[in-house]
Amino acid sequence: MSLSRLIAVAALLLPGIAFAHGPTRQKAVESVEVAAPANAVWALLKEWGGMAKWHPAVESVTVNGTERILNLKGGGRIVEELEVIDEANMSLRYRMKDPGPLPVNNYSAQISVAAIGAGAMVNWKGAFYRAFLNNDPPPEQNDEAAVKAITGIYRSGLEGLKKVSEGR
Amino acid sequence: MPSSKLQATVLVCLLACAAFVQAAGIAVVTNQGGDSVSLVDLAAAGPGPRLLREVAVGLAPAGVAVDRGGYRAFVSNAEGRSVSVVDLRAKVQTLQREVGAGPVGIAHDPVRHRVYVADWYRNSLWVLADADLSTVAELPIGRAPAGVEVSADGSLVFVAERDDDTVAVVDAATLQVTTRHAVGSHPFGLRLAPDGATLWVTNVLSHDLSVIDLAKAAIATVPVGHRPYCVAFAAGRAFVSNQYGDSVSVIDLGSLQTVTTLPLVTYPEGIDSDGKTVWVVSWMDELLLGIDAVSLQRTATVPLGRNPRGFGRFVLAE
Repeated sequence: MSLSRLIAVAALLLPGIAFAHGPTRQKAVESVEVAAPANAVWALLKEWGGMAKWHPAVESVTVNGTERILNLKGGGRIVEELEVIDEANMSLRYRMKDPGPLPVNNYSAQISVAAIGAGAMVNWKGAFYRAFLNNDPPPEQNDEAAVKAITGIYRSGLEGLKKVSEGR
Repeated sequence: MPSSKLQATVLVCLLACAAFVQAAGIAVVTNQGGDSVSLVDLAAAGPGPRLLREVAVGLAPAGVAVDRGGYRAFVSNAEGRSVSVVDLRAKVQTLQREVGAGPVGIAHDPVRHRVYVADWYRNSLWVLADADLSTVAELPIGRAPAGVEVSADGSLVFVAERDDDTVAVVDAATLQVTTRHAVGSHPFGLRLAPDGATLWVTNVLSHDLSVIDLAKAAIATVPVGHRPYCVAFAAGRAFVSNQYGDSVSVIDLGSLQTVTTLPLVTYPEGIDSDGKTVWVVSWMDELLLGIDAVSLQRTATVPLGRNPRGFGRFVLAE
């Protein structure tokens, strides 16, 4: 087992260890305007097992209650837990129980839809720590690597959501 | 007195009085992702609260402690492994000194002229001279020490020992740990109530507060929102920022009952008060929000720098 893998496993076994200061919490914030009614976009988003319909990196989703497993194209899986669905604000909050191949720890996120005229604005905001828990991380486990990975997922996901919502 | 002179005197007084009423204070918020602090004028009159300047400090600043007497702020640079002094009049960093391996919580004691800094990686508490940040002592403390608080008379220092689920009480005269209180899971922020009789501790993983009666060493547990970060006091109430709850819990100081939970503050972290307004840092939206302590209405919204935290006493009330 490589050192990085060992650390990732240790982080999962000790859920508190990566939390709070030490490594500093990072964020990714991305948004997209969609030419479709906000209600329709929200209906697509809030379907907890429906992510494969719009995210290009997700092959299929397995749902167990509030938990979902994202089976990724090209292998790897991510386990996520639904925390809150806020219908009034068309907002959904969840966290990752297992980041799979992603170089992050303690990831939580919020995705929400707002009506803009006849269209919609979708905002995706995530908070997370890098994979490496101590000082002086290797480059593939540092803050930049974590932000880059999550930002990439958001951008490709929002583009996919836009395409599907707009019927393209 | 000639009338023109009288008028001039009245005018000067009016201007001076107006200036006095308008001066509400200054907030010093650490921007962890911007390696800076945002200085915010909290004046309620005129243009309202506004950003004065973003001042460069060390790498990834987290903790902050304002010093009213010196009109300055002490800042812990978590990744810079240093502590900065920011002059609030000149609005510049005047000193930065290397301190340990992971400085986080920071508190200032104007009585003994000291700065106390919790060191996350060395499991220690640094005692520094506030004039030049020279080291007075480094005390071994519990694991992953986070928040630090000092009693008003400077005699006691409190440290949240996160990974031990305890709060250490340090005698400032002997620099020995005299007591350890067992609290909830992963204590992080802590603050003395205005009367100094109770210490309020946020327990991040048990989603509650431990309220320690210091005279009786009795502890009450108060449930709050998801992953509480820190506490502030105003108008007979405690205000708790719930990071992952996207809310602020409002708790009555007497009954320890939750009055209400204010929603829609995304990832609230640093929280402090000028006595009238509670100031909350939204880490996600990078805003400083002013909430009236009595009406609980939002009264101000000021943009901050990147990934702001404001961990500690960041409001200097005037």
